[in-house]
Amino acid sequence: MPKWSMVIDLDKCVACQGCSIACRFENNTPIVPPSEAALGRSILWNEVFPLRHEEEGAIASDQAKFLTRPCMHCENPPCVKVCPVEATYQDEEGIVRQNYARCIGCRFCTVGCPYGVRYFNWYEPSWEEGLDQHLNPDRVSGRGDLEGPAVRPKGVVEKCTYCIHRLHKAHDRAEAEGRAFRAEDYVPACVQTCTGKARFFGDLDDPNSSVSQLAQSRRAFRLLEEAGTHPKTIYLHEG
Amino acid sequence: MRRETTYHPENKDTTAVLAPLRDLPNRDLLLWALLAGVVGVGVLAYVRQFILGLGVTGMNRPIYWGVYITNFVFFIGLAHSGTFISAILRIAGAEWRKPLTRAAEAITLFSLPFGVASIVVDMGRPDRLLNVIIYGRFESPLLWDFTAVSLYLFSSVVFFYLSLLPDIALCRDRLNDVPSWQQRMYRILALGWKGTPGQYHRLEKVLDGMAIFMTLVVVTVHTVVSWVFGMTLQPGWHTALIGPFFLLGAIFSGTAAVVIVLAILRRVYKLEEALPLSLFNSLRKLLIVFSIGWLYMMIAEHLTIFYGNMPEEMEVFWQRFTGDFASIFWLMVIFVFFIPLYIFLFRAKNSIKWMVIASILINIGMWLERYIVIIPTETRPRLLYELVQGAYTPTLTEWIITLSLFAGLVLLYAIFTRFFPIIPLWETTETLAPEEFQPRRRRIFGVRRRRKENA
Amino acid sequence: MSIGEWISAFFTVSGPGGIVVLFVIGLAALVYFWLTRWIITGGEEQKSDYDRIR
Repeated sequence: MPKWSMVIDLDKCVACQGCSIACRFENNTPIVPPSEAALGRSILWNEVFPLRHEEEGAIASDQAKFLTRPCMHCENPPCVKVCPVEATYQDEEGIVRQNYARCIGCRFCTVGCPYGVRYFNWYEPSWEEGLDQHLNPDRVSGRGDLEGPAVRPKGVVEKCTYCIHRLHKAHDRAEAEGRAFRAEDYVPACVQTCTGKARFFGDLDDPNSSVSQLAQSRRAFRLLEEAGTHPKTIYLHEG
Repeated sequence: MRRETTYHPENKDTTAVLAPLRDLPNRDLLLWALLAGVVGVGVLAYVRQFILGLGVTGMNRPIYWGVYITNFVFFIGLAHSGTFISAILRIAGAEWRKPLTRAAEAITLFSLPFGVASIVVDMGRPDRLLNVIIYGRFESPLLWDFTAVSLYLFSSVVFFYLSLLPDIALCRDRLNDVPSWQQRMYRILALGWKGTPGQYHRLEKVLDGMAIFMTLVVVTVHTVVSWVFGMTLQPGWHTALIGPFFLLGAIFSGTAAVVIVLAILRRVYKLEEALPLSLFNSLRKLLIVFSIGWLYMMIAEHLTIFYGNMPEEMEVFWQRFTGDFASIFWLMVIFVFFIPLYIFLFRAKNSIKWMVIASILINIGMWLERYIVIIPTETRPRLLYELVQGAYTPTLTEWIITLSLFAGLVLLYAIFTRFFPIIPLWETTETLAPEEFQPRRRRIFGVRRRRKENA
Repeated sequence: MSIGEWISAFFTVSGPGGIVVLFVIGLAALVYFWLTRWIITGGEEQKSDYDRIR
């Protein structure tokens, strides 16, 4: 079974936020008004953060540093551990999924995730006029009744799914074309959009894939490695 | 005239204790209406929240748990008072606890439902509550919570009811001037209690057994509640000390609540004989021990964090000591430790007024303590402290619902005290000593008259 | 499946958790019902005296 993973090269990232924008259009992420955003309720499955400058005294770099952060899709996910109803679960290909139909909105997973990749629908999802006519109709097939880009109700948790609906579409397309499924057919929206070609996606178990080769790089690191979560979103630090 | 066929042990306070049940003054009805009004407003606020969504609260990313979860922990903690007094002190053989047990247990009985209500209020999809049963995953601390709290609630109801049983029979037999529906209620609830030695003997045995069980349940429940936080990786939460910390805090705040309730009952229902000053002195000593124990836990926790100086832990540490939550934190320390300890040591001996003041401060402080445990960690979560820093201001909806929960507790308690004796008459009688109740045959009428002559 | 897998599956799969809750509450209900009955029927051997008085 493939083990899907993403590698993000921070040296090439220009922090254009194209990934975040592509993600929210791909996944029908609800828009929140500015008052809600100020409160900290924006839903951004992929979020781009400016990093604080920690150096004092040393010559601080003028360059602002940014971090783009999707879900880590951990191999040992602390969010899955604490869900009381298995609304979030890890499938056989290593993707941590969210089932909106079963989620009871207890938000245990949101406080359990040490990376803060999870978001909650505080109100009924809504979109600006016009946008609601152009929602992505793709749907995810599988164990959950409502996953991925499906329009979710209020009161449930959502997060990055590595665009799993694209995985299922790639499988369907391969089947329709009468050929085998190729890992290169499956590309999340953020990887496809990235301006600086900084994001890579593929099967970590395949020694020939770009991700497994980049993961061996000297520059490779994972966030909070000491937490034991074994995240599969790998970063290459600048240098 | 119904011939009394049940044995009721003689108790010098029977008249005084039953007096509140014979009367329902208008000011009580007014109080109930007022409290019901507050509860009603809370219900309306909740309905609005149910329709619109949890956005009407102040919660956000990363503060996903706020006042509602604070209430949950606080109410479950309050509930521990009753079990501590009636179960744990029963096992310890502390005879002085006897007049208090029902009043304390009633706090347990009536605060647990509001603890559970707090959780339901906090859920994003309360309509899917049954998913926890249908799809329950036992790896989740919420399932341990659900099991433990449900068992605790159920067992508390049974324990309470069984301890109440002989006194329900007493009401059935003695309260002839109450409305007939009320008499029927006593008759049904009394389950045909006859007061035979065999029944008393078995009742005592079951209560002894349940006291041990309830003690185990109490320890489990609040530890499990704390593990909802302790099992995550968040700094300030992920500490082995959180179980004992919550447990001690619960017994502490619960005992203080008992002091407040007893003082009110004593004054309102004129129960000075049944609830003597010595009770308050005994509780005073307990509260001193708990207060110092609480300080010990705080020092152990924070000194360890400070000495280790781990960056993510220190972010939360400074948030509490000098950061956004400093004023709440220090207010809590003063309310929970400094002022009460001073009062207990130098003012509260033989003074109910000072005991109540200290206890009120303790309860306010302990609510703040729950807030301090929960929210600062969320404002500086493990990774996000580098990326995003959070802030939280509870909204009016949250305060209204919180207030209505407390109003509901007081309302249920007040109604209860007008229908059932708040002092366990059968347990506090001088003549009811276990050794005198051997299961031997005797005529029931004859026993009572003989006892009067002997007394 | 080995015993380790059984235990792991019990905790991680959805469903068994709900069964545990129902089992615990159901068992408690049975025990408490039985105990209450046991208490109330505590004096039945002595009832003969009372019946004769009537």
